[in-house]
Amino acid sequence: MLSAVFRTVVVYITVVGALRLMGKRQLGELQPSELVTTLLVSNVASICIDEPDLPLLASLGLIFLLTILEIFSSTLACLSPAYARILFGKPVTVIRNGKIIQSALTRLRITAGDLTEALRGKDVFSPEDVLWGVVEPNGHISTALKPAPGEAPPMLPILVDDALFQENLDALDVDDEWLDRVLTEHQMSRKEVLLFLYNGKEILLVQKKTTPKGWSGKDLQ
Amino acid sequence: MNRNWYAVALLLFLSIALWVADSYLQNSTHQLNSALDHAYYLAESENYTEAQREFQAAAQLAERCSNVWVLVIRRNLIDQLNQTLATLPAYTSKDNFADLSVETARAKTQIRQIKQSFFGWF
Repeated sequence: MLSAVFRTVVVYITVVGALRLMGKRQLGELQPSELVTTLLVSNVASICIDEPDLPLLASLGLIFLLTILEIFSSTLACLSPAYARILFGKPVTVIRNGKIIQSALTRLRITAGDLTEALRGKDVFSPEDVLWGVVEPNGHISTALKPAPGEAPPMLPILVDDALFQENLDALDVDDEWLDRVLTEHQMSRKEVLLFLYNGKEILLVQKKTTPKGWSGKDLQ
Repeated sequence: MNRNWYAVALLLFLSIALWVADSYLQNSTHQLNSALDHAYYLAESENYTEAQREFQAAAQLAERCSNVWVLVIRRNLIDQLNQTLATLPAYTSKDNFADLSVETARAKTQIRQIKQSFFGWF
């Protein structure tokens, strides 16, 4: 009995410490790899408490090992957009200009009912009102609503950390040549862009960090 | 980025802990094996009083090591070994030599299983 109490206290402190070390990412919306880490940590922790036969250090070692893997993996995802795409996946457009893209629903294995339910959760009651709707890698649906008359349309991502949103280029009636021309005007290559947003009128362009301590941005135009 | 340094420090700590546990387990199981071999040799030479003392010393050594083993090895494997070692002094007599041989072999296998549970990959 005493050993179970001791184990519970030690495992509690270890798991809280591990989650603190993994950071806020682990406590908010989970990406697939983060969900796996969280599930494994909670499983190892509960087995360690339930099974007094198991060596304590082996279980704590596993929790710390999962923490280390998660930290290194998320750092690598920050440094390498290609790895981030493999690890987290890409958002998938499901609504464009008020029209549901049915092929995307099939690919994501979500029904029209799931989609409308998610939209209602965001107080959107008709797909017609949505300019751009995407299913994010964490499974949530994000929506950009059509602008009211006289309002500026919402900014759509064109280039995010090396990932080109071709369908947004098409939707805004621009192409790759236009993108490269804009970047040349700003003396930037695609690799140097952290964030490129566009709404048909305005551009938001943020350059990647070029100095060890700060961002050298070429911002709003 | 600070978190990466914490992760590196944690990895270093885990590696050192693993290395220390590895060395301790190698040394302690080797020591215990040698003690059992020596005690069995004494029993074979019909020096039963000395052999009994050696078997008791081996059981006490295993008890001491168990306090550390329990942190890295499944508890039931350690308990089984301690139970076997506890019977050996009682079998150390001319009449029970066959039983002593069987139990000594069992104890040596249990030591090997303890090592395997730490060093085995699968």
